[in-house]
Amino acid sequence: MPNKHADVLIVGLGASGAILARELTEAGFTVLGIDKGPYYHSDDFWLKFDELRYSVRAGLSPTMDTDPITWRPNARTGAQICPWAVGPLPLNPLWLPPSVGVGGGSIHWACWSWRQLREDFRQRTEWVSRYGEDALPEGSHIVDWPITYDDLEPHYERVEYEIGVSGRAGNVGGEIREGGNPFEAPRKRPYRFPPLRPSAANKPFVEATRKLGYHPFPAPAAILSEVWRERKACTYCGFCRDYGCHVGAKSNTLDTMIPPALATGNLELLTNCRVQRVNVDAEGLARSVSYVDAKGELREASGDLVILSAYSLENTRLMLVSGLNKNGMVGKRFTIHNYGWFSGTLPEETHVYAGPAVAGWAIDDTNADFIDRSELGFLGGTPIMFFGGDYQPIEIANNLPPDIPRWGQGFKDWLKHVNRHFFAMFSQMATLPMETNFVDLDPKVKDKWGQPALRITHDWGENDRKAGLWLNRIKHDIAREMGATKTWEAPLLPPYHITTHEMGTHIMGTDPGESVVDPFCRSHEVPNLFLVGGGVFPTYNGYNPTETIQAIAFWTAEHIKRETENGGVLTRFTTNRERLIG
Amino acid sequence: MVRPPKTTDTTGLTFFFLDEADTVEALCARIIPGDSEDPGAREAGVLRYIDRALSGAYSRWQGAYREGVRTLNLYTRQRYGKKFFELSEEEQDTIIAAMERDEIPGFGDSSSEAFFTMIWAHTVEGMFSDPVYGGNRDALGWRMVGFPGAQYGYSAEEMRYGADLSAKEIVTLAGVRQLAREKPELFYHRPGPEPAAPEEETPGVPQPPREPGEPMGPGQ
Repeated sequence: MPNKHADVLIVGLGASGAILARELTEAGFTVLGIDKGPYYHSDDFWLKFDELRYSVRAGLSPTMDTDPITWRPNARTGAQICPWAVGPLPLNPLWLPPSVGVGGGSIHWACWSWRQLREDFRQRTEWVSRYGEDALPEGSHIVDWPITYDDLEPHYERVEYEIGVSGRAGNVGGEIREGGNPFEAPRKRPYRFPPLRPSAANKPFVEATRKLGYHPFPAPAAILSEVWRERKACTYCGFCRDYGCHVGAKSNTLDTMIPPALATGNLELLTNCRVQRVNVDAEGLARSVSYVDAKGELREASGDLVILSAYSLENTRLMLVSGLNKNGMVGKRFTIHNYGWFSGTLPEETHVYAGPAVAGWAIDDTNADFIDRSELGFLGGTPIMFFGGDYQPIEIANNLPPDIPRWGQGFKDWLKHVNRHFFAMFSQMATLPMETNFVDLDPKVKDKWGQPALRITHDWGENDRKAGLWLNRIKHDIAREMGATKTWEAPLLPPYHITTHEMGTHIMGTDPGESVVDPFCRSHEVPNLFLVGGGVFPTYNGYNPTETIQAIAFWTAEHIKRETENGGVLTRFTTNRERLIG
Repeated sequence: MVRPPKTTDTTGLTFFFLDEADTVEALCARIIPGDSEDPGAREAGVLRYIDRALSGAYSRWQGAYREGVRTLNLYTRQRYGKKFFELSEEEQDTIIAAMERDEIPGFGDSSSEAFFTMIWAHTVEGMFSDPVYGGNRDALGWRMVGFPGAQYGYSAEEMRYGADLSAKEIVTLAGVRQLAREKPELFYHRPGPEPAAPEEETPGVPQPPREPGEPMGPGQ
């Protein structure tokens, strides 16, 4: 079979790659989309109500069998395959990379869909002006992003209106709206859909946080609260995080971006195909990728432009395997979330199995620097989010408080009680981009195809510990005010070092010596290669990343369309612009 | 109180041998104890779940179960002159507490604590996974904790704080399968074109490399 060729190769058709596929095919480019996983048909998710298959056994996620990743806490220690992701205990999909297949992580995600705050794009400026240069910890690399909220605002809107986000606006054009998030940056338009119906125990959470002086609001959710075209409204089945959707209510790129891309006739999908490397020619241009096809045969596909959108970690692994790291920045600035789980029981029945988790409300008072950090001794912030649904019995049994027996009559009595009265809250403190946290290739461990595994070097630090202590105090206050009968917390510094929220490792920047891609996600080293996804985040914040990742994908697509026309900077790489422009 | 060992239901087992079935079921029944009035892991058929999992998805843990059970019974025979499942429930609890403290020797590279934790995790799975996986017989596990199962959705009234859902009928995956067959319109149908099927090469015997210019053989 001859090598395939297209104007654009896209590696990974997930949350961002599928957006680029639609935008570029509609603009007339031919696109070859290569994904490691399958193409799911809609009826593949009709029987998704299965905690064992999709949560305990992580049915949609890549696992260490096929996609090994190693971890070590520091460079002095030997790495091992992620210990929290192997063994006979449940595979928590939150502690693995996001799901694979067309649609990628946007299939299994819990659908929190935030715009970043203005402040999140300029952490360095904010923190230095508030707390002074000395407040930045030694060994940290806190910078401002090379793009601003205003650059992305129209693209955020496209995500909310073209993929579908439900929520209540808090700031429309500078006017603060009652009941929304008063801290959000101004938006031109409100959300496309009204908020979801919250889970049962959300009521005491909202009452408690209001009483404590906070400003609760419905968390923005990429789930339809109303029917939209062929997609149905959420049924509140409660099998949401880690699952596909049986009614198409979850906003994934498989349902929103792939059908119009296929309709152009310009998209060819290569599924169950694993890209192994990017091949760069003598001129330093990406000419092709090598991949193992579904039958296990090594093949090559060429394109004028190559886009890697296979998740931060896999993009970075591909860059390193391909020998593309001239300035040494690939793999640097690895940041992740600490979920800060906080659990409890309430006097009334909570029906925590019903409704999506994201339908819980949140407070943003704890985010950014809305509460001054001078006396608290840490940097960064996070919303506190109520988790009152989407919780099934196996996960509840595994979330055992330390003082409850794990077997015998006492365990059984506990299970009967906790399943009826459970609630949870969580937060997402981001690690700071520290010199000591990075990824590279593991020198020993290889996957089944002989390719080197990625190695994570990461440990939690003092900033994470202090932030966690402060957040736990606030969560305790809220739980007490809610009337909780019992509470317990996850460890301050978690045992896991993958969270589906891995950011950085191929960051964007204007200085080619200090970053991997330019502000439009184009590689400094290989000028016809783009790297899209959370890997471009130079710093991280307290929000789930997907809406920002998707806004950046729209932003990058717009750049590619603009710069391949009328003498733009990309025209020298594209061979058939005559057809496109003509 | 010393009770005689209960009879193990071995219907449909494909992995566990005789002592193994009795031993694993005895362990499960101490993790989530029960009787006919208030069913536990034994009554819910957790053994059958674990047996089926080990015969398929969890085949990599076959050795850990086989060796773990042998080691445990060796220990109890030395100590009590009986196999684990022949001991009284009180004696079994003493042994389990010792396993948790990692005090039972002979587990080689593993440990008695790790062995117990594995059985613990799989007992919970067998108690609360859909009955189609072999455990949670008659949804006994879900009934125990008030979980209505594979529900298509919930109404606003059902999601009210403090609402009483105890009368809600439990649905299993078998029920969803039936619903999907009878009323597919309740489910999502993605519109638009399907992706093209992958191009097929001639199946069968791999072809030897050809010299340039050599004509293709039959079937190419």
